[in-house]
Amino acid sequence: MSLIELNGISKVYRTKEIETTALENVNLSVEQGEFLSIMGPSGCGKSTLLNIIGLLDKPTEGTVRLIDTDCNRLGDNAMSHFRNTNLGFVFQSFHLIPSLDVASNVELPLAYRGGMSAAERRERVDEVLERLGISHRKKHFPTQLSGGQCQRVAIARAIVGRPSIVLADEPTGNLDSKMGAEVMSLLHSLNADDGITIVMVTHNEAQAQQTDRIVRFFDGRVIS
Amino acid sequence: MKTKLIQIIYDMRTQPVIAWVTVIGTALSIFLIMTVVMMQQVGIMSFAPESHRDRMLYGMFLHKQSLENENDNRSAGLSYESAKKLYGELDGVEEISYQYTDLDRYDAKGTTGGKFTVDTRQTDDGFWRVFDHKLLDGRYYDADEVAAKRRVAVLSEATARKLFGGENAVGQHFELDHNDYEVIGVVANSSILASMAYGEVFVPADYDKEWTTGMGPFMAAMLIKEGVKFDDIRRQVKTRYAEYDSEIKSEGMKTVYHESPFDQEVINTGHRGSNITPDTSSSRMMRYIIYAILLIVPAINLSSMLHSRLRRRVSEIGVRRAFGCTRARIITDIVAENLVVTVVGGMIGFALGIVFAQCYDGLYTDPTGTAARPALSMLLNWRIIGIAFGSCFILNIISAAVPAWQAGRLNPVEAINAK
Ligand SMILES: Nc1ncnc2c1ncn2[C@@H]1O[C@H](COP(=O)(O)OP(=O)(O)OP(=O)(O)O)[C@@H](O)[C@H]1O
Ligand SMILES: [Mg+2]
Repeated sequence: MSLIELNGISKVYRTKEIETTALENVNLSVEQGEFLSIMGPSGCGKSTLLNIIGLLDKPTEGTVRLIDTDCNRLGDNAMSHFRNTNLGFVFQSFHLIPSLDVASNVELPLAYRGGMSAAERRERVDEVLERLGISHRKKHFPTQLSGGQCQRVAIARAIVGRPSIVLADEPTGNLDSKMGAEVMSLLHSLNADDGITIVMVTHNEAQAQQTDRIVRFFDGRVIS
Repeated sequence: MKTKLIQIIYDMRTQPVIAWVTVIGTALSIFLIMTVVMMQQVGIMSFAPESHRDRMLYGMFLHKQSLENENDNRSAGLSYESAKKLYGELDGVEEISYQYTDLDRYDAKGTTGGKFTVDTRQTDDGFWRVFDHKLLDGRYYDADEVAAKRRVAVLSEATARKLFGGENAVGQHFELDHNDYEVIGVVANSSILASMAYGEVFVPADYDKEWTTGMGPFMAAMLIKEGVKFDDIRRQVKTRYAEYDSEIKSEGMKTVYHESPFDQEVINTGHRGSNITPDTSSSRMMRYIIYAILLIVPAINLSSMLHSRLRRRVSEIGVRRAFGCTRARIITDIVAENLVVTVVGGMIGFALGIVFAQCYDGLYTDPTGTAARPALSMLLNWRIIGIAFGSCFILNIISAAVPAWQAGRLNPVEAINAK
């Protein structure tokens, strides 16, 4: 059984006048521990797919199974809980919360998890910050950090809850090549050392080549 | 919690205008509510010497009507005799005071030589047990002295000082309404807001004073035993009225009952109509409408403020949702955050209300319309503080409900990508 299993996924956006088919009958399985790249031209539905895997959006048709759970059946609260325990997100423009310092940003997923004391949460945050080499920025606010540092914080936030799947939508899209390379090596180490399954959308062919497998999209369909 | 506060402060600093308008708006609204609440509370809450307003009942008037002609009415205060007949020795009454309903403004002259007008209250000895005047020196007059119409007086501290300077007042003589009185006690000053117990000079009432049959200057002030229902007392009083009816039948008269005796809420409406039934429900309704307007109007404004504060944070809300925050948690967090802001505004408003009450005369009047400033200790009581915080809470709920609910309903993907 694969860790991620998508069957016959379609996504149609309906507005008053137009219908946009963002995804059409997509089938995809991702194995435990795999590092998968998704590539394709702008507007072909990559982000839409990632959002569906991330349970942030619902497919118009098709089934989503994650970690042996039939996610189509989950209610809103159960989905929130599922995201909290099993999924981590990394976004192109970081999406750190500007009013929170680094430590509090990283702590976010733990704040929505019951059964952890404040001390335990802080300990876990410190551990992750240490690991990603940003401990010294703990008390800084996002505006005081460089793009590369922001993305490190965002990655720390994505893994602090020890998820089995990390979903990254163009994680290096807003970074220069040097910082991009750093972020990539971080993701590789999470994949190799922690066994985290990663699904990453990228426009960078070289980065994609370093991953286990590339899925190419065109117009809402998988072409290879 | 600390993180929350830091975040609130941060959010307010990024939108200072909205933040200030929110805090000031809340403060003003709480200030207005507090002023109305305090004005109301001062009229009904207990404070010495009226330390048990919640257990007080007042039998004040008698209304007689001709048996033949219902347009032939006589109504006024009570004579001592009729007060005793209607209210004396009822079950469930702990203490009763027969006293003049109105204060008399008499001239007084002591050893200092100056002539003063003093608020004189004429009472029996029960007055000192019903009310809670603090005896500073000497003693109160007793039943025998009242019955014997002795010319003895208890003075308030301030009056004692006015009449005798620094000298010890007890044992001294002074002139009150051209009669010679002996001072036998001195009590602490009382506020004019204690409309039934206040006085500057207290003297034994004249039991024989009667205007026409059954009517006179008296009323009965009753301290009801703890746990006894006012309606139990009223039921007994109704029976007394029936008995009294049979007594005055020979005069060709009957009584008309007006829900006597009255509780503090009636007293606070300033009810002085001896021939009408007091109406507290309309004044109560009026008060609730005022509270509602004072809460709802600012709440609508605060609501739109909160709405624009949140518009800046849509993306944050989406991110929180992605990392596992439930809709309900989004909503409760926003309400809690807003509560902090509302309480800060509320505390400012509360302080303003207190300061205003202390500085501005004429806001508070006793039921007869005399202006008075309430003491700080009266306003800083738990009930008023509780109502202030309760109002903050309600204000918060009404103003936060819609924006928070909208925030909870946001689609996470659209929220994350919102700019
Ligand atoms: N909320 C929406 N309403 C309507 N159409 C949408 C919505 N979101 C996405 N689309 C459309 O769906 C299609 C796929 O969008 P998606 O964002 O998945 O593309 P993408 O492959 O991630 O592109 P990019 O590389 O530019 O990020 C596009 O045509 C887009 O216009
Ligand atoms: Mg995209």
